[in-house]
Amino acid sequence: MQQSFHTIILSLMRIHFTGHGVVSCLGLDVPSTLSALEHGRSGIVQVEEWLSLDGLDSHVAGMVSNFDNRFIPRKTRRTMSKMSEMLCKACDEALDDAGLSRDDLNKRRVMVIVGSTTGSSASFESSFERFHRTGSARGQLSTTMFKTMNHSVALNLASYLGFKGSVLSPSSACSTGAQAILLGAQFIEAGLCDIAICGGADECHVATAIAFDTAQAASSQNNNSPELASRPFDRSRDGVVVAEGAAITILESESSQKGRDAEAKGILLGWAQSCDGGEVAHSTKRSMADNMRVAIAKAGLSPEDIGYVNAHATSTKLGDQNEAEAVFDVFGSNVAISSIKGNMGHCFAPCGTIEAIATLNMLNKGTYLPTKNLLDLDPIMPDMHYLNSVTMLETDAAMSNNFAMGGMNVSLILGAKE
Amino acid sequence: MVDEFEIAPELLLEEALIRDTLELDSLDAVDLSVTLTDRIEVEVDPSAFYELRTLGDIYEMVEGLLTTSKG
Repeated sequence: MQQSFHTIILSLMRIHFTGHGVVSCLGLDVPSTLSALEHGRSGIVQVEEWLSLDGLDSHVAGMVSNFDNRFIPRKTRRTMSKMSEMLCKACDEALDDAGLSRDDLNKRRVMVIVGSTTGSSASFESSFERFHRTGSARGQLSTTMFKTMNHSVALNLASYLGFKGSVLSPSSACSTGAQAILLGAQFIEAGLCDIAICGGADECHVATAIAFDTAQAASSQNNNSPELASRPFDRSRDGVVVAEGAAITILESESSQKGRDAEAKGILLGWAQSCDGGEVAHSTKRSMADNMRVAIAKAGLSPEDIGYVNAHATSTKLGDQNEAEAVFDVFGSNVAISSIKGNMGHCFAPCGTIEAIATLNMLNKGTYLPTKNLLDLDPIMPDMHYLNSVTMLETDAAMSNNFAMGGMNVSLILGAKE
Repeated sequence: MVDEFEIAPELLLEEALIRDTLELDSLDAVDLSVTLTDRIEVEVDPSAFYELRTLGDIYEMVEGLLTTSKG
């Protein structure tokens, strides 16, 4: 049967995922992270240094351990904090996965779009500690500025790669990684690049735990059983478990992907980003649902076409409930939903990238992961298919959502590889 | 030098060139001045490094600073 002009155009404009890289509290690469998720492992640990900190109730976090930064030459590394170092490792893996060399990046039409929630809090702390201790502006390190700037991860990754092209550094806290993917798609769709290296990174600092603890939104009831602390949608959930990590995914236009015969690992079918424009602590149900609908429409699909939703669900009382109600509003009862934050806590900027990668893996395998620690579904949640065991589903499309502080909503519609 | 700047110990010779052999640049000069200031408890001005060529020159400068501060 002859394809319609419209179908051919849509096919030519498709955006493929061609490479992934992850550094997380579950593992230092994509296979180990996905394997840990599939085996239901937790990356959450008790942080010893936080136990004696007066006023801090949350003592658990998803820390990246055994990370060796020596693969980065000293002169490149000296301006990096851990978030940039982790991002370089994730990018190496993604480029290798995509079959792209660093040389390719400067020869092809490539953009790098990576961000973090903030610059390095550890570097800020060290700088201010010296300043307050000595009462002098002298004695500051020359490299602090490069670690603390908002676009620290972007500049350092570009320096590491020797990348000469366009670099952007979005920053929208928990939706940064998803927003980077969305921006990459928009630039490819607009014809401004063929390949977008998208992702995010954040390093764990006690300041983040303090911020959520202060807002009564950090988990503190399972400090002695850290693997149980993050439990989205569960009746006994009690807040965010802060974490760290980095992730990169490579988006590519169909013509570029086919032109170099790169293996496609999935398709980005649709996307939407909006701001709640009112609530700053968490988005309203209305704005989350509206955002999801725009993404579905962008994909040319209807809610029934999407069988699985990877939820942002950070394990807070109100956030999970609001989000579940918004998903229910869009999809009704039949959709399957889970969150991988039960395994790895909330690593902020890269979480949207990691969740997209995990969701693509589920789509491609046809098996969907449960929410770890969802043992007793909160009866306040609307009636949906909350996955509490590995489940086989027949669907070719899934949604991955991130709803960040400031009311930043990002929804991505992902399709299995062809 | 080994800990802060990851320079191989065998390169730490008196005649080693700061820029060409040890590969230290202006950013490193600032951080080296902070490290030395902390170590010898005498302020080392980072701009002083711009006039120096070799590791031996740095030793000489530090010796001079220590002598002046004791004197």
